[in-house]
Amino acid sequence: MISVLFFARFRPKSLLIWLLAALVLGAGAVAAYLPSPLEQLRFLRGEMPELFTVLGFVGDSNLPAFVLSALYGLLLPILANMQAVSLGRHLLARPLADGRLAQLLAAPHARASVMLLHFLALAVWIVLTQAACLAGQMLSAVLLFPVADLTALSRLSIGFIPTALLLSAFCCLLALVSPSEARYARRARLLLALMLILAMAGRLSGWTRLRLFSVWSLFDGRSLAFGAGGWGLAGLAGGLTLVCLAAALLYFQQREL
Amino acid sequence: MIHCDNLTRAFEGDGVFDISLQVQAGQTLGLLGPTGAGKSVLLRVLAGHLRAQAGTASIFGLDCWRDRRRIFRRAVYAPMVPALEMRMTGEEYLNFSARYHGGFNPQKARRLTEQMDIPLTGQCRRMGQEERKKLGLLAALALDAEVFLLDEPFGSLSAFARGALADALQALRQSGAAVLMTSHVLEEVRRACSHIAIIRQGRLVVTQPVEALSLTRQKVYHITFNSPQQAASFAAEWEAGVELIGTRALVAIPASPQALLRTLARYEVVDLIGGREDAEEGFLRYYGDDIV
Repeated sequence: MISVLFFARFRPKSLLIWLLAALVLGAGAVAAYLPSPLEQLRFLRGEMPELFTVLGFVGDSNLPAFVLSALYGLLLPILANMQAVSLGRHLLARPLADGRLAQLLAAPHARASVMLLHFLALAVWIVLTQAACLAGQMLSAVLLFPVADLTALSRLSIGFIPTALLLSAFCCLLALVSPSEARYARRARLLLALMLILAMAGRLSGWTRLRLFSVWSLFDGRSLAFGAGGWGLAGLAGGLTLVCLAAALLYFQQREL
Repeated sequence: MIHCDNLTRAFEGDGVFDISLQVQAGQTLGLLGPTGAGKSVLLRVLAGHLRAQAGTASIFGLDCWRDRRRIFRRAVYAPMVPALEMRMTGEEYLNFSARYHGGFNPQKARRLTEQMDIPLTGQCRRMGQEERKKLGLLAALALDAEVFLLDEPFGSLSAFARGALADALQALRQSGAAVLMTSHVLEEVRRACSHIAIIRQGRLVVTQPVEALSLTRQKVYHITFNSPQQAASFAAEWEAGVELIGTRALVAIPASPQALLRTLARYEVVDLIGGREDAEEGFLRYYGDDIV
């Protein structure tokens, strides 16, 4: 009955906070496309074009392009980073430190099952958060922009999930190899922030190669928004997630508790 | 059922070295030793959490590291500090543990809950140290297992709960289970165990049935000499089992004092007091300098 562990790992109150945050972000990003806030953003963009480029602002010719700029350039990556670090901490780093994981393994269950179950809980959590964000966008779009291209918004959201999962798998691996919960948190925050900074710096002309050092280069928002592909990179992110997970499993098999 | 053969595992400055022991069905072995002696390390090796560096550790003939999953179909491990799910209530944790581990015996759980007065309502994080300990023990002891590995089960418990736990351990022994528990209190081990093993600085000093503890008790003589030099000279001559405190020497001998009296005849003895050591003293003798 290992499914009991899966449900034990879900903390409805915490999940609700993440879902609400994602819903508000999604709805807010679409609402910002209303003429008045859009005008202000255009003005600011005219004043500080390079800052907006760094923040991932690719244009506002239509709603999907604007949502890509306003949401997927910085806000959702930050949310995904925070979620990956936090979930890695709550699901693995802390139970490893306080002996709960050792206690879970003093039972007739394979280490691989226990580890995979934790990742599954984490993945479901992330998918639900992205679904909440998409729901917020859809709700806002249906109410405010009835003719908006909702499929483009869906493509963006679905294409974002593999990269968010890759971050989480990376955090799982980091939680297992870190000697303490505090060290894990420091390392994870630092590495994930570094990847985001590299992705942002890579948006500047002449610095584009920096993007290659960040997992965010696997999220090709422009192609996804305009229906011009981008799934290959998302697939690569999915593949790398599996590689990361396999490495975590292999390490966990040999890890002493 | 539990078998260690020349088991060695160093761990963060402590560890266990060259440990060989066996616990058969119907036996309760109390592993006695001071803090840092290596008791918990040994249990963690047996629970499959640490890997043996040399020698073997097996339960039911299965290797504790490789076959951990198969072992825990019939074995239970309760750590010194129970790792509870703090957001759950006691009852929720017990249900979770029962479903997760399998082999839960509700009658046994009910009996233990009453005997040890374990509160199941209220979140684990709001429980005191003793309540958490009792809940952790309940989750372990309520399982129908054949082998129980219990790390300091009596620690943090009140006298009332200790009595109930000793009874529960005796019941386990009578049911044919093999129990290996650790403790640093002799009285607890004498009360709950059939066998005792004393561990010191990671090495087993002695393993014997609890009843044999009284048979190995020695006679201790407190001898006062007229000068520290005389005492030192006597200590040098007597060699084994002498403890010097100024002009006084403490000698522990297992048999007749004939040889001691013959030796003392050559010294100026001011006072001589003799008597049989009690069990606690006998136990401390094995501890050597580890206890201050």
